[in-house]
Amino acid sequence: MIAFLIRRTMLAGLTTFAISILAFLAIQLPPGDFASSYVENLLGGSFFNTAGVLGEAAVEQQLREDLGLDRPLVVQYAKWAIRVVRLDFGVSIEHGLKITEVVGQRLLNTILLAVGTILFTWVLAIPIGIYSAVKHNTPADYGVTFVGFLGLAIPDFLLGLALLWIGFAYFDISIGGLYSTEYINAPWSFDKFIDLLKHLWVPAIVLGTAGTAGLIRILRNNLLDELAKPYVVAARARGVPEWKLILKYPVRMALNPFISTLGYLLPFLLSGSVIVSVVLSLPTLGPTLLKALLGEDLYLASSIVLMLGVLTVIGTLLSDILLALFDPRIKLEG
Amino acid sequence: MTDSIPAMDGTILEVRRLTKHFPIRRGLLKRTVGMVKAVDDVSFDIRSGETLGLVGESGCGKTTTSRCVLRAIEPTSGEIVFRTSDGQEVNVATMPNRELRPLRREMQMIFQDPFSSLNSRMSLLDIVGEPLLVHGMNNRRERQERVAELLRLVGLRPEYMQRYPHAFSGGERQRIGIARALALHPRLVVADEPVSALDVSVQAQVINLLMDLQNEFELTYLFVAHDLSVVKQISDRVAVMYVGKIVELANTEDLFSNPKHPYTEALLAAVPVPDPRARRDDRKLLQGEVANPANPPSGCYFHPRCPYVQDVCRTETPTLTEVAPSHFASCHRVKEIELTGISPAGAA
Amino acid sequence: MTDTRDSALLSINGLKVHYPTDEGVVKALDGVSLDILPGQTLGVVGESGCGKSTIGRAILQILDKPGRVVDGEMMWNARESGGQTLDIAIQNPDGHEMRAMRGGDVAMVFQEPMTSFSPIHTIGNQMSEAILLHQDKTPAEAREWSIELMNMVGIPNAPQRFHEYSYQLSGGLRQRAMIAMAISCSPKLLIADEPTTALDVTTQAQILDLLRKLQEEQKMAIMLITHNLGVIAEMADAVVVMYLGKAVESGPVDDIFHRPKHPYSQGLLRSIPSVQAVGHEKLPSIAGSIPHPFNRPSGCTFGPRCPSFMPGACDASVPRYMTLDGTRQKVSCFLHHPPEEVEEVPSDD
Repeated sequence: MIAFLIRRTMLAGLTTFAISILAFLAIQLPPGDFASSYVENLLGGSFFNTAGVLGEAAVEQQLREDLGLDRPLVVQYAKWAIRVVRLDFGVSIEHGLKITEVVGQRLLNTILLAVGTILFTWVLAIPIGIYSAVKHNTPADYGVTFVGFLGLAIPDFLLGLALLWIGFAYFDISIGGLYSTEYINAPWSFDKFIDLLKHLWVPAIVLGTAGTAGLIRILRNNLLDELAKPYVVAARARGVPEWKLILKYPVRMALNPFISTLGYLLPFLLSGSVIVSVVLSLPTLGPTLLKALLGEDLYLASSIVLMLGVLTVIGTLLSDILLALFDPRIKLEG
Repeated sequence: MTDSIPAMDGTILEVRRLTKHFPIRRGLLKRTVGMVKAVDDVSFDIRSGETLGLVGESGCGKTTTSRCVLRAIEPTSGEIVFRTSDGQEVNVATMPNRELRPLRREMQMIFQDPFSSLNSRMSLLDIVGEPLLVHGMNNRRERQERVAELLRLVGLRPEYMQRYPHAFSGGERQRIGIARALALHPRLVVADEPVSALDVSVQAQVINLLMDLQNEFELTYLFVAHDLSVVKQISDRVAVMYVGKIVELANTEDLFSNPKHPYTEALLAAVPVPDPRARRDDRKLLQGEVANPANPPSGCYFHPRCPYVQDVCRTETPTLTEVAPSHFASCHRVKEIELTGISPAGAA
Repeated sequence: MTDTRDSALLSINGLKVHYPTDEGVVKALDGVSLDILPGQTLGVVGESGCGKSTIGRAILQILDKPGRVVDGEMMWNARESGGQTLDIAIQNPDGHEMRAMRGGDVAMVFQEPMTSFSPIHTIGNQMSEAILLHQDKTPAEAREWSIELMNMVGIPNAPQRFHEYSYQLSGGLRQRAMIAMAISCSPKLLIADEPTTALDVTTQAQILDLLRKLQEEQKMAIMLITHNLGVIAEMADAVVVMYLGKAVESGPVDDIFHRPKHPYSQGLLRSIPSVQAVGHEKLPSIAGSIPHPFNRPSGCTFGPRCPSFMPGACDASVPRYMTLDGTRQKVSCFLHHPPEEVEEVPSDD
């Protein structure tokens, strides 16, 4: 188990290192460096502004020295990495703000939304999936399957629009956003949290519907496989009551793939939620990333990618550890 | 020791000091921490036209040995000398892969599981005809005729050649596998548990078929099985393996009626005899479990379970020696102990 | 036969189990009758598709979906222990009686000791579960009893093994653990479904020996389901030979092996290679192969493979399964009861 943990942690470290190099290189990609583009941005985006040539060059030089941009790439990477570890990602060119300030609140919102969506998905998918497998080939199972396919087939932004319209037309409320206006810039409090919960369910449903339908199918099929295994028959033969048996043995086995995909949910939700976030005006990272990419704000974009990458690595590591705790066979192999 | 088995005239295959080690990788860096000695210094001959049975319990190395003979597994060391149809002697163990190709015509394999060893998306014509195509029979018509002939040979109707494997029962699928193996007129056929997945009433049919084909085409079989009754039925000679080594090798009748190794004796005593009047309440039951080939015991690998164990068995590894004409055993006490075999029914 | 039925621990009569599928109904059991006497071993032998495993599952009402008992009775004689006679065939599979019976009065041992244990629960967890379900014990007592049982079946280091997983045990030890679990509640009937098929021959001998020893100590009946006639010959007191969902012959073990009456039993016995036989002669084999369950021959289902096939009789009607005069064998074959008798013969049960 310990060897397994160490190996997985080392692997996670290596992956993080690789992601950071990619992020760093992305920053280096555009012509010029941070100093020149920063200055250029300050001066209104024109290279040919001759009026301030001297001052401009001086500022640039100063910046370069401050940031160590005249040093070799390896040293630059090391300096950058040290700053990143201290959560200093630098300044967003487009926003003129520190990247942590641009991203911070939105990252938190994104994570909260992801957690909310996962909870929604699991709370719905697990019992339905189990029921559907146990009662397979009955009208109830067919019904679930049909609704599931509907859920898979409806694009989530359409569902979002429909919910918005229903809320607006029939209940005269606006269900977009994650917070009521009075809480948007308020510090965290219990009331703000309650307010968040009031808003969170709509995007959670919109984002989670397709996932729920998919998970029901996966769980149902996994469980059908497991239910036919000899250990289930053996448990039945020693008189274990049916529902206790199903929950104790096959369901636990069928849940393994759920846990192992935990880590990938974050980037999946991020890339999948851009349209929904725009439609429902959610203050999450998706739209920010999109804007940063369109505006070629590579500092911001690669910082976001780096953060998400690291979070994904951590998520994967956690799901590996959970899986090992869940399934003793994995420990032994390690 | 290994030289104590002289190569005989009419020998088609000589295996000398064959060894196959599988590394055990463990720990942080998946370092090799040990070796599973799956096949450990094994030597034997197969004479042309005979059936050599290779028996033993799971993990004894019988399947690995048979795969090494065909170079389906790369041996760690040792020689596998095959005498080709044009009289050449080639060492299969060290041959470059491209030179192995023409040899594949002469050495074929029959597998245990007739369900997974046939591609379910291929018709019988394609399955049985594939080796023909691979070895250059490009004319479809010619191929069809040969496949029809092969199917008739194994007792299947040639009209079925457009059908797919799922339309056939287990026994019929095994016949298909046999037809495929025979397509190129092999001289040596390695059969790995060819009847153990079949129903009892079908087993006999397939065993009979294998014996008929052997007579007709002068085939040589290396017959790998765990079922001693089946091995007795078909083999001329039998080799018994235990934890990667051959512990006894003899003519079938000698080995069954007059075993020279305590493991063979125990194995024979454990086989249930299909006659309630032959119940042996006093029979010797082997205690304990098969030794771990990754960490075998000192001396004779069988000593922790052997009822005849003495000090020498714990420290010194016995060698396979000829204890009676053509009867080889590897036991320190072979001259001192009297072992019981199986007497033929009615003779008891 | 009346006397054996009265003294039988379990008497099965005309049991039919059907599996409705999209392609048709698979008649896994097509009218099977057999009696299991207390403390005795009944060997049930047959090839694939004969329904031998289905019987074991039907007795516990744990048939795989969509299989169900459609006809017949399974009378469980509980009088000895002060209870009533219970017809298992009409019990609700999820009802209290059946759950109490499973793992209590009737326990089961399976073919695959590896996959019959959950890979993510310890051996001890699963053993204690069986004990806690059927006995008034605390978890600590259940643990103690489990370890005692593991000692009893010859598992070394039982207290340590209790906390291990099935894949950490060898095949033989796993099957011992399975047997320990099965006998944990002192069953009156142990159903052993191919208990040694997955094991090596020396391990098989150990397990059979263990079963014999436990049977003597616990006075339980064993229903030994296997395709291996050698195992039957070594273990059984009485034998039922099955073919395609029916019992074709039954009787004391010595009679079945030395005076088989049904052509299928005869062919089966002749076709098996034996270590006692003189090798290298051709085996007499049964022609053809086992028919597909949807393509059952009419009349006697063994007809098309039978060397004594009688056109007009064997393919026209199904022979009755009845006792042969002057023997303790039951057989269903027109060689022994001519077809014209069929309609007139009153029910013998």
